[in-house]
Amino acid sequence: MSGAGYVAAIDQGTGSTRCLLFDEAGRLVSLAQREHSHRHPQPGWSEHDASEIWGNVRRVVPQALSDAGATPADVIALGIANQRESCLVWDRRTGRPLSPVITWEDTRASGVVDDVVAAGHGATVLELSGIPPATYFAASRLRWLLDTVPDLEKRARAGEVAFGTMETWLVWNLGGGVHVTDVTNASRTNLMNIETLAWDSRLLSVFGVPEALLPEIRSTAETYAVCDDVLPGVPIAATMGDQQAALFGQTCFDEGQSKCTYGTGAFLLVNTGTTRPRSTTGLLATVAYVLPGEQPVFALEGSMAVSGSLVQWCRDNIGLVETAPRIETLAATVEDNGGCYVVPAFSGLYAPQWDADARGVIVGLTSYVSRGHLARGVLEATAWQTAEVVDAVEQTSGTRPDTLRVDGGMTTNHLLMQTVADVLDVTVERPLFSETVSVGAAYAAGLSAGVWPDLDALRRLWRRASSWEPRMDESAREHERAHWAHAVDRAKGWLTT
Amino acid sequence: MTRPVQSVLRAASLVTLLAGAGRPLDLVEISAAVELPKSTVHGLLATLRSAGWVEQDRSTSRYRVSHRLDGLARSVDPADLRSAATPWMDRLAAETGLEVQLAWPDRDEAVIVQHVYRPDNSPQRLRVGEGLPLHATALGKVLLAHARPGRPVLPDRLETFTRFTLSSHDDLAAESTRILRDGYAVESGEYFPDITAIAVPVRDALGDLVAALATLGSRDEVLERGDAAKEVLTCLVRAAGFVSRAMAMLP
Repeated sequence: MSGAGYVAAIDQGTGSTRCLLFDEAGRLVSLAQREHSHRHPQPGWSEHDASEIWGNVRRVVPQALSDAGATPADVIALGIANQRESCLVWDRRTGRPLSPVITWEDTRASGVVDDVVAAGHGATVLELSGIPPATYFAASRLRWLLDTVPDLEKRARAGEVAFGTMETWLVWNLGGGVHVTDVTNASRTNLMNIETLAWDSRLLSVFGVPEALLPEIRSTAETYAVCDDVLPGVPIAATMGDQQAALFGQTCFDEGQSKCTYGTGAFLLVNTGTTRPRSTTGLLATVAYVLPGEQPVFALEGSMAVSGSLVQWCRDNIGLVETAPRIETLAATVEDNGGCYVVPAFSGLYAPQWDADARGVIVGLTSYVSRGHLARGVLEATAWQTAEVVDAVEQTSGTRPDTLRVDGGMTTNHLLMQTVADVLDVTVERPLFSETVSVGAAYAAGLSAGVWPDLDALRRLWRRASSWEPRMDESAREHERAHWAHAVDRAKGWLTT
Repeated sequence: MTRPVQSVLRAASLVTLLAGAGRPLDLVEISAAVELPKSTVHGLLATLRSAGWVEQDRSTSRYRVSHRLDGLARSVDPADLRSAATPWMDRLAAETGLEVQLAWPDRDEAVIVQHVYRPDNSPQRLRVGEGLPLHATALGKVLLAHARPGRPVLPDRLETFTRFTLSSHDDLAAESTRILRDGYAVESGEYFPDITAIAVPVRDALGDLVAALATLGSRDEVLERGDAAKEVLTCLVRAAGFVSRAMAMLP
């Protein structure tokens, strides 16, 4: 199709790299995807090969173009969304990686974090970066690399090495050696000051990171570079962390608007407007997006480690169901949970409890409880974890969203979505364009390149595909809430008793 | 070729029926479905039970296949169907600007498995789980036209919803013939006066009908010159093909 104007999005995720093309109505035109290998060389380690991922970008982008009958000349702008916090270092001269990509779930740098906390820097890091020191964020991994890769520290101080999260790596390769990151990704490093949105020398010294390593921090939607490879001549006009991209793709531009992505884990983000929120009650303060010349927009984030992965566990480890969607069919064979509650604290509890010593429990068992009740308990676990995060948001920000926009694979689970609406007592809405991460990257890039004039134009592209209204009565909700809280108490501190 | 043994054939049809039903069936339903007297069916079921192939629920007296045959009972699960179909339904709604529904046959109704709203952000209600009359909706008529003989059993008197509802069995039979010939069904104000729809079959990897997919809108949007609008039909048929392919990839 010649003369067509498309916006391309690359979604560099934990499992795969995808390229999606959207037309000017925001409709998906084509999608190409390629998985990459995921290595676990030691317990707690998690790595990708950066060259393999770059190679996949070089395959999926032309594939998406060819599926749409398009050429690079048809692409107006490119946006990138990426798995957050995963990072690597490479040689500035050759562009060759000097480390694997160490992913967000890798815990090898826990010693670094322990040292930072033991040295009394915990509060400083939280105050300046907005997030507590943790292996989840990139700084500890970078310090581990500097300590471990021969000569790296010396070469880094000499300016020979570049550090980056995944969008930085891709922009470097696409744009011929431009070394930039965007604010949303930088806000997940423990190194950026959340007030000034710049690298903070105090944070750099806490982690011993030479500034010469770091990319320049830029806004979310501006032209960082023009591609000289893969999409020659196309401006790279936006980059965002994947969860922020999903918030943007759900067009949650107003303070109080929120989205929850239900994948293996679940991520709930609430737009908190232009004032910086505090990471209290177990939530993380993060940057939602920064548009050039505008005030930064912040978000509170609550992550649930185990959501869809609980259903997968029921399928793979327990044999409760043959396919993940059938958990709903099984749960629908009964009217309620029969008194059975499942707390999936497989690796501790995340937001808002943050208890690393918690472990999963199934409680309330009687001879009455059947497979169907267990399936109900599994779905309700995701709903109640969402409710806990929303309650924490309300405590922190003083406002409770009246609507929750949802996306991700589990949104085809009708019973789960109804249960989320019931226990939150809010309307739950699923958008027509469910690839919200890529949609967000494309929207930001299209906004930057003038495909869409302003946020209002993007708001108008959002389309409701389904919605669920709460229909649980208050007394039943409070009864269930108390039982869930009771079950969570049973899970807490398991390793210490 | 050897002459088939009638009782084995009948027993096999009972197992197939129970395996595909998705819920336990009672004796009346089973004998109606296989068009055999209750006494004959009862005898066959008793034999299958003693062989351990069929189980009877003690409290309801309904029959189902034994758990040992679960692997054989490859009936479609509605949740799998919804999971596989949703991306293509979303795309169909975006392409056509119309409401999209997916239904599967359950007893004497077409039950909505997934529902994607008309993408105009107007207030709409999610209708997943709602049963539609087989004779008065495009989805139902597709399922009816492709149903096995004798299943489902329609009542003698067909309920009339609007003045366009087909209320005679002869008209309905002619409609089924037309649907099988054309490959799609049209609903023109037969259930709700202001709703027009086109529906097509969704098949599994073996070509058997598992569900029906429909686009719904106003008459002007869905029809041209009294028949299915070509552009809408093209999108609908393509989406049904994608859903079938996605179904075939299920474990």
